[in-house]
Amino acid sequence: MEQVGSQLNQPTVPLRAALSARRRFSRARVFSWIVVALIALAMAAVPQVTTRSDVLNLLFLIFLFIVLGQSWNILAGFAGQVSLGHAALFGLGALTTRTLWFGGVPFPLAFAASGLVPAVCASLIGIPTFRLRGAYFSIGTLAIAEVLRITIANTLPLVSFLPVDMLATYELAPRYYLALALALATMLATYLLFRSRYGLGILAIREDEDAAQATGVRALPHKLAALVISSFFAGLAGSTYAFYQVSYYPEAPFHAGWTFDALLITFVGGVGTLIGPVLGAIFYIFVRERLAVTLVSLHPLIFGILFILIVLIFPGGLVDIGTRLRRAWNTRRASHSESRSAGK
Amino acid sequence: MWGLLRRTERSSQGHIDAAMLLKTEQVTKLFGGLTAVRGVNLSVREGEILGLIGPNGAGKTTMFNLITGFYRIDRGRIFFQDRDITRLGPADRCKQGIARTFQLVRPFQHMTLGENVAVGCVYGRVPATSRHDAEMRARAILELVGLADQFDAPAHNLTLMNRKRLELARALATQPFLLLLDEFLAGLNPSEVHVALELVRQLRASNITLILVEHIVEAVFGVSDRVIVLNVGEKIAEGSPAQVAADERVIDAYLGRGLHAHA
Ligand SMILES: Nc1ncnc2c1ncn2[C@@H]1O[C@H](COP(=O)(O)OP(=O)(O)OP(=O)(O)O)[C@@H](O)[C@H]1O
Ligand SMILES: [Mg+2]
Repeated sequence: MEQVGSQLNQPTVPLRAALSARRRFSRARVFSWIVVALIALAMAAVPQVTTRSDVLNLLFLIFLFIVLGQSWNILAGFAGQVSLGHAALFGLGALTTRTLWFGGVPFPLAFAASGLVPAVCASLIGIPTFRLRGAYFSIGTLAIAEVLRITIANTLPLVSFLPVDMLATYELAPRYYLALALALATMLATYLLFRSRYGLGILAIREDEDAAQATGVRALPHKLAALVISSFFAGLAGSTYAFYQVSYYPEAPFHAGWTFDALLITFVGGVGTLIGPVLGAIFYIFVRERLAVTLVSLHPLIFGILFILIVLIFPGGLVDIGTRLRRAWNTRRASHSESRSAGK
Repeated sequence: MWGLLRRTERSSQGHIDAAMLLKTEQVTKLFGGLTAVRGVNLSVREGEILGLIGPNGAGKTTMFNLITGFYRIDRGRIFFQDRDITRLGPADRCKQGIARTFQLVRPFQHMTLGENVAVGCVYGRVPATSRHDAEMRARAILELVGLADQFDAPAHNLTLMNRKRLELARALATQPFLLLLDEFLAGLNPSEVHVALELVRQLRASNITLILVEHIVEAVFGVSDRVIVLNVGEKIAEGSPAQVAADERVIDAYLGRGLHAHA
């Protein structure tokens, strides 16, 4: 018991340790904020430098898939509720925009509504669905999303709407900026959520729902909060897709493929990490676009193999590369300074 | 330093006249046809240490789950600080000041020790006002249990003793009036048991009311003011450690002839 006893007599130690830890941490934080700001500025400058639509399209897709992946990650990676119904949220966002915007509502209003509609629907469906745990929750959400997709496919006419005047005035740059802004907003919201006190409760629910409740965390409100935020951004991603694509079958954004894209991106990048969906989206879009051009029919197969390889080599996703590099660097530096002091 | 766990100082002199903190009335829990707990009356006064013992399957953990709100009660009522809490959920009971540890420790594996404890600081009886406030408090509590140097370490791959320390720290972070420890000593080697018992004594000094479930009977008798014995879901004895140790029914059901504990 000596340790405890002696620590009781030194109440200033933890305070000092806390302060120095904070200072060390905040320097790294300032650095990362600068890097983020530089990347955002560079991305914002791209349409000023080039009008090449292949470049802008590629970056647009990366931004869109960052939002798609991160919105799934909020619910599945951080809150631990592995939903397979994500496409329904994306689809509802797209459908809301399609309906309102083509119906004459100004796009900004339609865009806002496209975040709110999936969030409201999800919170209504979420209350009963969260009674399911683990795999039952995943299967339940998949079933709900498929029912919605089939309903949409059967009730809405199977036409890809072609609003002629909209196609005539179509410009890529506004789509590009919308997607960039949305990706940045999603990243910022995720960062702030998991730096907050509330984010701590969401993580605790993911780790162990019972232990979290024993520690004062109410399970349902935290799961619902994660679901609502996730749905909001998924819906905005759907809206951005509708704004970009303009002409598509109404059923298309409800397709389960969107869910699996989100899942793949998050797992390849690093599930439950802030930066994972970014790395995953970059990787996924680059590989997909390259393979689609060169190996039209083989690309799902090759992508599947690549995915398995990455998950095998880096079980934590691509973020693992960074962690391993840092660890290797730290041990090298440690052994370096050790050998130097030994040489003295 | 331990005083920081408690905002309200209560007189430490004797619990005879101290207020009733927890009271269960005729509490019953059924699992299908099995009656895990049958009509148990149990009460704890402020500042007291109550030992709860009995053979395997006696209903001790079930009793904890009923008190902390993890199981819905089938019959009976539970009062905490004279308020009826029978219908409150576990998180709300924690906020009222009831904390627990689990028989099999359950740390938040992929969070750091600091974050584990900060959860209790944010969501407990006295919520932290900011994440920073929570982290400062978490650090102080980890200091109390001897884990401060691992503040930023992840909670997986801790030794059993350190997992128990963490489990205790997380419960303490909620600033409980009443703390239920379920087999806190189980699985520890003799010298670790000694350390853990010292931690329990520190809790008593800080005036936290405790209910201990243990199979190491000598240890329970050593620290408890009062002992309740459960057998097949029923209370078969209650009294001071000496009274309980001499009780014929307790000897038959649990203790045996010598004072030997079951594993
Ligand atoms: N969730 C449950 N579902 C069904 N039966 C249960 C459940 N929890 C406990 N039981 C049963 O209730 C009885 C009491 O179990 P409990 O865990 O409370 O015993 P205990 O006194 O804590 O035993 P131990 O000393 O082994 O931990 C046992 O027969 C057990 O099998
Ligand atoms: Mg038990």
